[in-house]
Amino acid sequence: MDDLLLPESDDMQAAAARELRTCNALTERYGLELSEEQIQNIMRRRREALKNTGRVEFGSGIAHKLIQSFCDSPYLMQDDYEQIVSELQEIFYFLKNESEDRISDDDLIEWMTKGFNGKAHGSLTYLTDIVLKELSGESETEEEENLYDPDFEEL
Amino acid sequence: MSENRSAPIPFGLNAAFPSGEEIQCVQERLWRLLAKQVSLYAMGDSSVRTEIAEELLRSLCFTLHMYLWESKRPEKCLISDNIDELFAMGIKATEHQIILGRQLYRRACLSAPQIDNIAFCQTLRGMRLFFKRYDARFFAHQIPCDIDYPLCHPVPDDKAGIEYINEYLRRIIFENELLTRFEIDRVIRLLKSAVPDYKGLLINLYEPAAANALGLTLLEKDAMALDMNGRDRAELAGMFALMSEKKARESLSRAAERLSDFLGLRADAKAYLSRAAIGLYPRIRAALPDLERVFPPLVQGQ
Repeated sequence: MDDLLLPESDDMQAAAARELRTCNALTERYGLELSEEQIQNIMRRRREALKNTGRVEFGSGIAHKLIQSFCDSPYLMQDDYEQIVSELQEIFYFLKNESEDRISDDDLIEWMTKGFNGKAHGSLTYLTDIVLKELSGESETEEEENLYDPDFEEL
Repeated sequence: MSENRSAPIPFGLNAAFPSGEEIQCVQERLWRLLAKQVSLYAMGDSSVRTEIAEELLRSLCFTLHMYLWESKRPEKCLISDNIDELFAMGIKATEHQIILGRQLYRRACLSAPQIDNIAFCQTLRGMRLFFKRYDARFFAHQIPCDIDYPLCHPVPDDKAGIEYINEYLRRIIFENELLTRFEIDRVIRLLKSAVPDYKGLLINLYEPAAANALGLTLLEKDAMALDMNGRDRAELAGMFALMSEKKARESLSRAAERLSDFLGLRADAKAYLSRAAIGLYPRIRAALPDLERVFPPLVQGQ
């Protein structure tokens, strides 16, 4: 069965790159931008992450959705933007497997964003543990208090 | 497109395409169809596990195969026609087969001989689950029930999903047709003799009755008796010892034809018995001169 599934088509890869390029318009205001090389790196990391997690993806991928949800995070800086987006993709596919696909893409991204900005304080290592606990129902329901006001960017 | 795209397509859909370009064209069309199926299956989510994608791909190939098989259209139409429309017609073809399958299932149950063999009864009862669980849209190639009962002639491995089930049921009906021609008490006494634990073991119920009825037909005796004594077996052993393989197979085939006519079997059941008769030859050859294991006697009384 190894060769049964075909590799991603050129059309799909082009669509994925296009989606990431359009994200720059949204993230510009947060000082975040992806170069063409960084876009290609994220796409390569995506293919690796899919292979490592034993998943197949159609369409333009999940990275643009992650960017749209995470771009206003206070823990996201231009210096490690590409690295964090790439790792978020890997965590996303890992958690999809761990949840046995019972949680939708949008809900999982919401949990990840909340965990990243909340208890994980921007740590991707903690983020995985936090969402895994959420998935297993072990997480405390109380919101952790912090000084960051999510509406700060709107002020 | 840097990677190799020459993997075989499930259900032999690439068999009609000699050139690599045509196969690649079919694969790309299937890939686009798969993307739609994944999107429907995952309800809009972006990715699925590889195993799920593989199963969805097998399913859509099976569905296309069902359309080609039912419509008798050539595989080439996978390139020339709209693949989405072919797939939609494949779903309809599969649904037709489900309707047929339900009829076959009813008939197999109603014609089943009253023999208390666990595998036979559980397989038929369990097949109800197939019709409850079968998912023609996403997993049409799967068989979501347990089928333990061994047929005299197993369904070929290349059949899948509803196609496998319908073929299995057809064969059960052929077997039932022959078995119910005899007094059931005699069939059970024969089974007891051939396999004392005939209720609990995974055995085929048709073979012993078919063998003895064929043996008696060869001896021009009453096939309905199903009983072969030592003298009958010795006579058959003498007969087969003198025959060449070709002659023996012809003789068995003719006996099957005579027996089918005598029992009034339908054409398909007749062909099934003919295959069983020819299949007896290696067993006879191996057992000579003592044919008791091939043509067992009836257990006396209850």
